[in-house]
Amino acid sequence: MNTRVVRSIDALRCALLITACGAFATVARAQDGLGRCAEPALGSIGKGDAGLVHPEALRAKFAERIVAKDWLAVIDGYGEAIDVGLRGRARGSAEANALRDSLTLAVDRLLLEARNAVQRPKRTWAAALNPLDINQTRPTFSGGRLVMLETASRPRGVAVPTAAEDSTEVDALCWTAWSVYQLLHAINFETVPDAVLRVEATAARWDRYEARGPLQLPHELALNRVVRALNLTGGGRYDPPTFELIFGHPFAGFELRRADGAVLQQATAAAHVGGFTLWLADRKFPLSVTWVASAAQDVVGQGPVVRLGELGSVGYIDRKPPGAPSFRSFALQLDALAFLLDDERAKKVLSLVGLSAATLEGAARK
Amino acid sequence: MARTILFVIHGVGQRAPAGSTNPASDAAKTWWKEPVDTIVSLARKHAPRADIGLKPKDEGVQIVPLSYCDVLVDHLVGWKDAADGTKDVSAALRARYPALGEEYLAELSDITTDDSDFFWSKAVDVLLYRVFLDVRIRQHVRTQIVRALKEHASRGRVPAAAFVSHSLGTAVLHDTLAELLRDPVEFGGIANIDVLAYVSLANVSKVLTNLENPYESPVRPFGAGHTAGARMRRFINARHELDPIPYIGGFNPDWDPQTSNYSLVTMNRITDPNTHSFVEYLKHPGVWAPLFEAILDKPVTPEQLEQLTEQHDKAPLPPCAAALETLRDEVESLKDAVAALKPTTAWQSISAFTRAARVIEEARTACVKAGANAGGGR
Repeated sequence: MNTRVVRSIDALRCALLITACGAFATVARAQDGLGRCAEPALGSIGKGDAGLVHPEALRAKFAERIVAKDWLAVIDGYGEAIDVGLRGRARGSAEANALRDSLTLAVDRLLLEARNAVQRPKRTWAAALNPLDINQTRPTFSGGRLVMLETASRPRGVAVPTAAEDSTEVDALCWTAWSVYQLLHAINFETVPDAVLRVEATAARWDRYEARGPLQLPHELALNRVVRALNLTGGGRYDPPTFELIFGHPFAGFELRRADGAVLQQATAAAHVGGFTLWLADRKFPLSVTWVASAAQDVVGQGPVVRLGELGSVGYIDRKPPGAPSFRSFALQLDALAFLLDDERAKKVLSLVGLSAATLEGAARK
Repeated sequence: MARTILFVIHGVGQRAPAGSTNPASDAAKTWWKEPVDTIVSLARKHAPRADIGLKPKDEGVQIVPLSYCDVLVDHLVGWKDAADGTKDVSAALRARYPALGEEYLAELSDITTDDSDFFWSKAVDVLLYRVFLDVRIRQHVRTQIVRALKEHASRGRVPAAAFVSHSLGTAVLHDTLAELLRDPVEFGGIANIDVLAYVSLANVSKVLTNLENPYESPVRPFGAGHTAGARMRRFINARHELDPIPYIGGFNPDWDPQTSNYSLVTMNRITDPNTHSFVEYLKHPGVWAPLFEAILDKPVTPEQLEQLTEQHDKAPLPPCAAALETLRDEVESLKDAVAALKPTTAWQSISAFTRAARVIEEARTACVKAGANAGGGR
């Protein structure tokens, strides 16, 4: 079977294997200053004897392997094709030969390292590819020159011969470069969906942290920055903390106290003296426990307050006026008012408060 | 999908338009209009066939504005009482937040009452990012980058990327990218993105060094410093001689433009009294020409770049000679102060950043006033 027939069959096979075609491919580029070295369009066919290394031809040829994610076979197949299509070509001009030598060296190393990478657990592939400069075979302009093989250690890359050269020589070089670029990115992409999920999960945790957690004042942020630096906050490096301190945090609230058979309500200026927030259930539920100081009617009382997620803060304040018996109040932070705006809920809460206040008053009398 | 994504990130002081009912969200939705319009208009002029914008066709260059002002504004709203009516910044913070520590508060004592408005409207962003919200902001920016790359991934590949950052954005973006590129275990193949160009305008990432020294991080050009690990194909760093912000920022790497893909664009022509303007930086050919070469495949030889720069520098001076002269004097005086102080930390630089914001704003206001007077006299 001659090459053209094989290529037609491969193209047909690729057309049938929609997923494979989609696995990695290029599409048409409306404008492109790279000229002959531009990334070949989707479905284009590499003409001439350089066609063996054309990205579309290689993608079609290995479509089934790509669909099966048999990357070892794909890498080996690409390597063999490049051996024939690029290395096997007759030598050209000095400039083209210089690029060809550099490119074949780079491709050998890239494919060998990619081969090693895909034999490891998938989670490590990106890390294995990271030191390789997998982007280096992409042709690009630099200071008006068309180059490829730009790397950290070869910043200026190697010039692509563009004028007065055998065009098939340039085709072979550029098509090889794009084929390897596409292959390495396809392998690299295998690790992207899981990474995106991790990033989204982290983002969701931060959103919950911001939406449901207590507002922190600057000095608390500064304090918790130290806590985080000491690695005491829990969670991953990129996650919001699971444990944070609360310190010197003023808040407006009100207290409810049962007296003479009624519930007395009074505004209060209070502050969380100290405490902590613990995030539970993958940061879905913050639980804060603080010791609160509250001033009302010129008497400062103290007591514990628990913040229950987004529901608000509740606790009790023990207050001992001079020359009078001590009493305890039920303390609510302002965000608990949300409950009281709803009549039905308000009744329930007040009923609950009444019971609690009675209990507290009973305890105080003892 | 897009062939390439151009990420653009803002500097300090991005706030919602007056009257906004959702200041955090509105700040993020509106800050980018001018810079994006400028990039698109320059591209239309110099690469007419290029497909670049917020909604390019398939295979065009997608511009994606990155925001962190929403996080800052959100927190400032929460702290609103801290900013209201406080003219003595250091005393206000000392009284309200003693836990910050005397050594840090002392660094703010140079902020005069005249400058306090500029602290609360601009320089406070530096403090918020560098001291309080850095992890949150990096996560916020990283998520936007990853989402854009994922959205435009096609046929088994994430698009190549380029970045333009301004002022505080240079520190935020540096830190975000350094973290992203350094951790392929967490960020998978995103850590291996092809960064075609990295543009920093009025870079302050050195004085705000956080996770990693910007001279040694992956966010440095090919060929710079220790060669291993550099990930930017090209790094364009622009600063205006009369913009005090990059001077305070202290970003002066010893990367050799002859042996690395680093280009330093030093501007001295005043095209606008706001020498810190994002847009004015973008308009300099030393900035956009190599950027377009990288993302639009529009080759620019050194000779062509020289001609473009000459043309650009022929622009007339703004019609406010006295204001510009004052600006020169003030900037020189500020530079002297900074040279004496040698700020090496965010805290040490805050008062200088605040003063710089005032100097530039005063020059801008004086110039507008002079222009109005000249116009009215005709």
